[in-house]
This record gives sequence, C-alpha cells and structure tokens, in this order.
Amino acid sequence: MNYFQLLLAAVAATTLFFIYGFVVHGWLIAKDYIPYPEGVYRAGDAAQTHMPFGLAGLFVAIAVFATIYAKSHRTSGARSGASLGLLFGIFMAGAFVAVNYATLNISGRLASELAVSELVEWTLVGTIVGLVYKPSAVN
Amino acid sequence: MNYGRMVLAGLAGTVAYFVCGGVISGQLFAKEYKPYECVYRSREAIMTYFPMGIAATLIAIVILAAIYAKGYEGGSGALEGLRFGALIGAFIVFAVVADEFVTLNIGARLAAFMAMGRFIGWLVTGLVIGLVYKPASASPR
Repeated sequence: MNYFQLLLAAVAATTLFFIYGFVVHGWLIAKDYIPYPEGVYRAGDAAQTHMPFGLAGLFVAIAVFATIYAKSHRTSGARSGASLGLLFGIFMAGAFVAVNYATLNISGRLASELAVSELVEWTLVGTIVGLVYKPSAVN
Repeated sequence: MNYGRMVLAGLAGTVAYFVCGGVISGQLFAKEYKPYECVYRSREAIMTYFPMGIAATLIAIVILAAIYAKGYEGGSGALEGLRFGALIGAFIVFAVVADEFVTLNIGARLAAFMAMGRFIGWLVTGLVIGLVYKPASASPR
C-alpha cells in the first residue's frame, strides 16, 4: 500500500466533500432543515463550535475509505473509485439515513434528500480517491 | 465473486447487527437516550418505521458483504472479517457519529456511547460476514 498516495487521496476527497457539503446542505437543501427548531438539530452557532469534530472525523473516515479502496483494488482510476464510492453511498443511505429517518424526528422529504446526497457525495469521494491514489509499483 | 454466499453473509450480518443493536442500544445504553426525547422519536413511533429500517439495513449489509467479497484476500475468514469490521466500525464512528455530534442536539456522553456501541456492532457484523462468506472456488460444488 502506498501510504503517501493514500494520505493525498484522503486530503483531496475531504476537500471535495466539504465543498459539496457547503453547496448542498448549506445552500440547496438548507431550507428543509428549518422545520425542526424544536431541538433535533443544533442552531447555527452551536453547530459551528462542534465543527472541528466533524472535520477531523470526516478526514479519518475518508482515510478509512481510501484504505479499503487501496486494499481491494490493484489498479486505480476514476471508474473503479466511483464504483466503490457508489457502493458506500448505498450503504450509507441504508445504514445511516434510513435508520435516522426511523429514529429521528425528521420528515420523509428531508430523509430522501439526505439519501440522494449520500449517493452523490460518496460516489464523488470514490472518484477523487480513484483518480489520486496510485498503488506502489510492483517489484 | 460468490453471489449466493454474499447474500447469505449479508443476511447473517444483518441478524448479528440487530442482535448487537438490541443488546447495546436497546438495553445497555437505553437510558442514555432518555434526555433527548425531542431529538428522537418515541419508542412507539420508531416501531412503525421499524420494517423500513430493517429492509434498508439488510440492503446496506448485503452491499457491505459485496465490498468485503471484492477485497477478500484469502486466509482465515474470521480474521479477515474482523479486520474489515474494524475498518467499517472506524468509518461509521468518524463519518456518522462525529457528524451526528456536530449536527444533532445531543451531548458528548451520548455520542461517546454511540461511538462505542456502533463500533462493536460493525465489528461483530464484519466478523459474521467473514465467517459466512466463502469465495466461489472454496465453496462445495
């Protein structure tokens, strides 16, 4: 496994993830979070103070994703990265969004938007990891 | 890839995941969720969404078994499954629990319990997937 490339791929994919998150969650579907002022989601300032945990956590999670990619793909490229990313997107939509919809006080509309968002963002993460990560040369 | 074994591993992994979830979140840590009644649905409301949650989790874990099958390198299924489960557990703790701690109105204590519970849940799920999945050449004909 090429650890330097792995780190580079994780940094690039984390950057893309945050740009995507800002555009989609902070702008496109931001209004769909508004109907939950009773306390499901933190208010803007409270969320900002907790943000460093989210940033660090996401970077580690994407590094784990890149590790799984590096372990399971002997050749790299956008296509193989995107296919693993899409699988992770489906996994996250089922294991995270659908379960949150069952347990959190949120609407079906917001849950649907979050599920689609998971598919797109993890496919993008996979594409970037596939493009950036290059396996070590075989001896 | 052995598709029959993959689906079987997904089914067995789902059972293991729900057993762990029932014991850890439903029993051991249940009281930690009590202060956050405005965040989470009531137990009765959750039950009405439960079939959808089970179906979605089953699909998610079959997908997980597919990811495991693609990366399977041979050797002990239990060890490979544990390694995979540890990676997925770490992924969920850092991608999901950290995100929930930032966005949901929950305390650090509940987040820590959730991280512990989910890591154990996915570790066990990975172990079960590893025990059940056998590559096509290794399964009896």
